Amino acid sequence: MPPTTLETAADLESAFVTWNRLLFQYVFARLRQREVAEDLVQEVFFKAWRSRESFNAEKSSLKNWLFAITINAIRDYFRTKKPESEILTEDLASTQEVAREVGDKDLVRFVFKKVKKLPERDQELILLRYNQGLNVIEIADIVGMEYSATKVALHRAIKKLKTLCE
Amino acid sequence: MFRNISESTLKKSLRSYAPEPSALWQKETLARLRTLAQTEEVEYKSEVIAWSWRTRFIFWGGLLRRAFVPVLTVLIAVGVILPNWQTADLPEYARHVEKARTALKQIEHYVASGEIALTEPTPSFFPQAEAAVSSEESVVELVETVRSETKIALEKAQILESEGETVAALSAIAELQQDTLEIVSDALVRLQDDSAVERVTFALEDTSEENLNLEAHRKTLLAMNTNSRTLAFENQIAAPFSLEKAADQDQQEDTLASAKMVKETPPQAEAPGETQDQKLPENSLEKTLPSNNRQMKFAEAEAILAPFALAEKSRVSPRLEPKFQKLEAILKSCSADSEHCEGHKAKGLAIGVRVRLERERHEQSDQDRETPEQKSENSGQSSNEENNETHEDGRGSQEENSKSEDQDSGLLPVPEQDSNSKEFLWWGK
Repeated sequence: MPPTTLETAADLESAFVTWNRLLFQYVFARLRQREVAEDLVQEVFFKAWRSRESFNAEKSSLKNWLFAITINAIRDYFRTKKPESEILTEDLASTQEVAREVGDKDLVRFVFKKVKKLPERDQELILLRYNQGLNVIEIADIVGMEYSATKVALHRAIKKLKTLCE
Repeated sequence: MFRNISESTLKKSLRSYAPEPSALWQKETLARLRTLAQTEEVEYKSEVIAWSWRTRFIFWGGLLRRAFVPVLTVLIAVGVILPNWQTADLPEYARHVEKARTALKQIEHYVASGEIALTEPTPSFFPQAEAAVSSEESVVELVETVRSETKIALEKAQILESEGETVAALSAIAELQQDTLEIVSDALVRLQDDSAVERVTFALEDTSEENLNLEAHRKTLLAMNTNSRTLAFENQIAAPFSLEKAADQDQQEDTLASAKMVKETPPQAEAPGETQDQKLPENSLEKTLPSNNRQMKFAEAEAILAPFALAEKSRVSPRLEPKFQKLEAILKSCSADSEHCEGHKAKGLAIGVRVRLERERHEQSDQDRETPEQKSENSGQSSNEENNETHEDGRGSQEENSKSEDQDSGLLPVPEQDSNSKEFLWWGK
């Protein structure tokens, strides 16, 4: 059962075990660098622990709160350092399921290349919705937008991506 | 390369990209997080505890700071208002009378507890002697307190508007003075220190004179109008007194004593109801013809008690016996070699004895006045024979009444000789 609070060391451990993979995938999808993603996810949990007093369980879920921290951490990262624009080959090649399921690794690489060209907010929405599989309500909570606005923004983002891929 | 990609293909492509974090990273990160969490948890707890202590300090400090003024106010109120609660409704003179009486009670306590011992002076290197001296000093201070409070009470009494209140105030003060004379003379018997004896004696003398003036003024007050009353009051009573001043007067008296005694007649007693020109008995004069001031004091002591009949003196209560014995011893040893303070003590004792005798005289006369009335009431309920007896009793009572009226009118009773007269040779009769 996933933890709902972050008051003790056990809560922190439980939270990490539950959501480290999810956060890592999202960060990796955004940064395309494994080591940077790992460092950043680790930093996210440190930050979450240090600022655990500001977490309000009645207002948001712990998972959404961690995602919000992650998004802010990525924004800070992009603000201080120019990210790599290219997706590393070995990262995609290591994902065997991708090739099997989609049938073509190049297609995945192509799609993520186009995602990279979207505005930052559209990238966040598309990756949270289709890469991480979160619903619109959760995404609205994470990015701090209204539900309807999030839904419209998400629809427009996917249209933009489709346009870019044509 | 990829043309006409459907939306579902896009979503599937996005969803299919799910890289796994390395197990080593997961293990290392988990260990670091655990260490961090445990360390910070301990720090957090200690921080919480420290903050708690700090919070408590701030809370109680603030509370004390805020409560300081109210608490201080309450304490002052309790300390100032409550002690005066019972005397708050009293007139101002009565409060000073109460203070004087409190000091008198303390003097009585000193006497009753034996702190002023009736013993001979011991060498000063004994701690008991030092304690006795300090007790005597305390007595002197208390006497001075009584005097000053009485003076203030007199001053406050003179500004009372109502004549009835003034008479009541003077009566209360007169009673206070009489009690002072009695109690202080009790203490005087036990004093050993020369300086203390002198100062207390002067206080007694001053109180005695003041009491006489006060009684006289009180009696004439009702017959005077308000203006003359105030003037007379101020002239007779409102003279300030201090023991130091009295001591200075004593030194002057010592210097001029011989010259005075050659020219002047011996000092006379000033008993209530007594005329001013009453003189000492001649044999007493011859016996105590003073060559200096201390001899004069002996003479004064005798003169003070001279007006009282031996019958009265022999009827005194046991309370007066120590005074009599002491006075007798002092006067018997009256000589040029006597201690200086003995003269003072003799006079002070005489004053105290006189006050007591006067009181007993008044009490006796009151009893004599009441007795025929009671007897006549009883006789009204009895038979004719009893009525005859009642007439005889009535005559007897009338005689007693006439005697007591004589006493009240200020006439001196005729001294009676009895078997105890030898014991009172020092009375000068």
